[in-house]
Amino acid sequence: MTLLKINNLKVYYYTRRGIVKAVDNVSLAMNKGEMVGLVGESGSGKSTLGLSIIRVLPPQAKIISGSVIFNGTDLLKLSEREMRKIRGKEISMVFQDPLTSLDPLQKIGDQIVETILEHEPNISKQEAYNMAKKALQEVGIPPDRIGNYPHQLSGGQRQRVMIALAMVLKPKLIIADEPTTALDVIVQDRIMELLSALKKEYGMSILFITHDLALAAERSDKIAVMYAGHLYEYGSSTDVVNKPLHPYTEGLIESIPDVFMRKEIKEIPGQPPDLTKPPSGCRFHPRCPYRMPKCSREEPPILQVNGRLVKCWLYS
Amino acid sequence: MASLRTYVIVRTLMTIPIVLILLTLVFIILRVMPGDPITSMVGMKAPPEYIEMLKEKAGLNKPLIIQYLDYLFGILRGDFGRSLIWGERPVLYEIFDHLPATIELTIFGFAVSVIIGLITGTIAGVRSGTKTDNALRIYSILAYATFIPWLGMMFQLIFGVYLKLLPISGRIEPSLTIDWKPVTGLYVLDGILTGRLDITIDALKHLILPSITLGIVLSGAYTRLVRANIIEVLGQDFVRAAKARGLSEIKVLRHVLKNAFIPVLTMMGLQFAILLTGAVLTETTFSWPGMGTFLLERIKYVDYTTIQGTIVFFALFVSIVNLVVDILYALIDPRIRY
Repeated sequence: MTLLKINNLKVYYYTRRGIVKAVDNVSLAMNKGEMVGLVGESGSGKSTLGLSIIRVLPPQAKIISGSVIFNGTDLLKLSEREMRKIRGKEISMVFQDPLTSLDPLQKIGDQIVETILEHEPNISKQEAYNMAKKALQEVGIPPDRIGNYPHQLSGGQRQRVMIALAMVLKPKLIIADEPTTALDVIVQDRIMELLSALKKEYGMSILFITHDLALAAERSDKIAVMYAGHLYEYGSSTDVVNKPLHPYTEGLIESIPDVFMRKEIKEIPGQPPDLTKPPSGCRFHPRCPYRMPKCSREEPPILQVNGRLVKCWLYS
Repeated sequence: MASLRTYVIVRTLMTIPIVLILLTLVFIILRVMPGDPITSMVGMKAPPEYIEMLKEKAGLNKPLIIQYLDYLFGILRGDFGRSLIWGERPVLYEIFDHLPATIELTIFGFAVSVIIGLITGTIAGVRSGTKTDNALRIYSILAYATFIPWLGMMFQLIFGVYLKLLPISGRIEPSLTIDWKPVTGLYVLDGILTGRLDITIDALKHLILPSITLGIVLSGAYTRLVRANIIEVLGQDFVRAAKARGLSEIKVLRHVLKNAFIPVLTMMGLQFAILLTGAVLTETTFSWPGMGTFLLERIKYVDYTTIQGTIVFFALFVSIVNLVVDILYALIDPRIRY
């Protein structure tokens, strides 16, 4: 069952250097209870896509067109007030840097309670407190730390608090924007374990935004690959990793280092383009090893190949 | 909360060396200043025996170390010296005569400046880059650059002379205070305490123009500081995270304001203390009988002991205000604790 359907979304940043087409005509559908790994390099538009869903973009960003259908309603058509009811309750977000994503002056418990009371005004303060304690326990923080301030917790613990904040009202969708990037590998693994457990326990859908294809492949049901504001490939994790269709996905997989050095690391030559003046045609064509004359002239359509979506002229 | 208690105790103990250094500095500076106070007081032509006699009386002929110890123990006993010219009145009495007027003006002027500064700064910060922001920024520069006596005289002219709405000088209508003894020296409060509401109202009327003049000029710096802090905090991740949790704009703004307020608190504490030493320009413009007018007068008459005593008194006072500000800090910001 489809929970989230993004159609032809365009999000541009109006900067001094010009218009940055951060998300350009992206469509993506997600099912209930699914974890989708949204993979891409820095600047590929993956975080912008995540922020657009709950509309907390920075002021210089504008949603130009498209729709974000969540549970049957177009979120882009909602008023700010209606949108506030969705944020944190139906869709919540876990951010990259747990060190700066909590208010340093407020106890973690109070931040959770504040969120609960904002959405559930009928709950008593005491009940909200108990809910917060339970949420902390669920994410692996001893409930007696409810009176702690953020600076009294480690980075990993703070990210757990962020997850507790995100899951306390049992949303249908959690957008996790690089939730493990600021953490060391062992803590990273535990946080991913926790997200997977929440997904299983409550049937939450998780949009896992990361630059780490290996990590996404390990945990997600599906993988979406973004490059320079376009979605280039979308399919089940096993398919995408075992048999990448798009040359960019292939390049990403080949550039994953292997601890045992069993394979050579190949890098993708060149740099991602400047999105104020993206390349003509397929935005990946200047770096693509299979480039054809057509690629620089015309933008490839999104094609359905073996139950997967791919945006490349090679398959037309 | 044990850590907060430790912080308060340690911070209080730390005040002792700070005060000691301050007192020593004041002592040294007054001793190395060219000329001695007695000669400058009575003039070069006074007979030497007379000067000697006065020096002995003021204790200035003793060895320096004894003078220093006398001075320190005097302060410990609350003895800030005696005036050289005003019939040897204890300096402390002189200070207490003039302090209430200054406290009253400070409280009201300070309140005006903080209220204007916080409101304009918050609006400018939240709406940064808009026309409102630009207008408020221009206001802050104009306010900051305005010469107090000019603004004061404009107000006196408009509200006092043309509209005849408000008194333009002094702190009370003298005819009201016949047969009336103030309790604290703060007339607004004393009027209430003694059941003389007419005095309270008259004192408030006298306060309006000077406190608005002082408040407007001081508010400019707050507008800028608050604006800059708000913009900085607004860019922080936790603000976006709070929004992403669905908090209403007012609740998000509360997180922002609390975080942006911390550096403003420092300035408020320091400014409040400085104001209590007398807003000289405002006081002279409105003939306000406070510390500023008082110090200016004593400097004119070269009343060294009074000046020294007053400096010491306010040095102590500023240290205490700093202590209070730091403790308030620790209450607001849990990261500042031991």
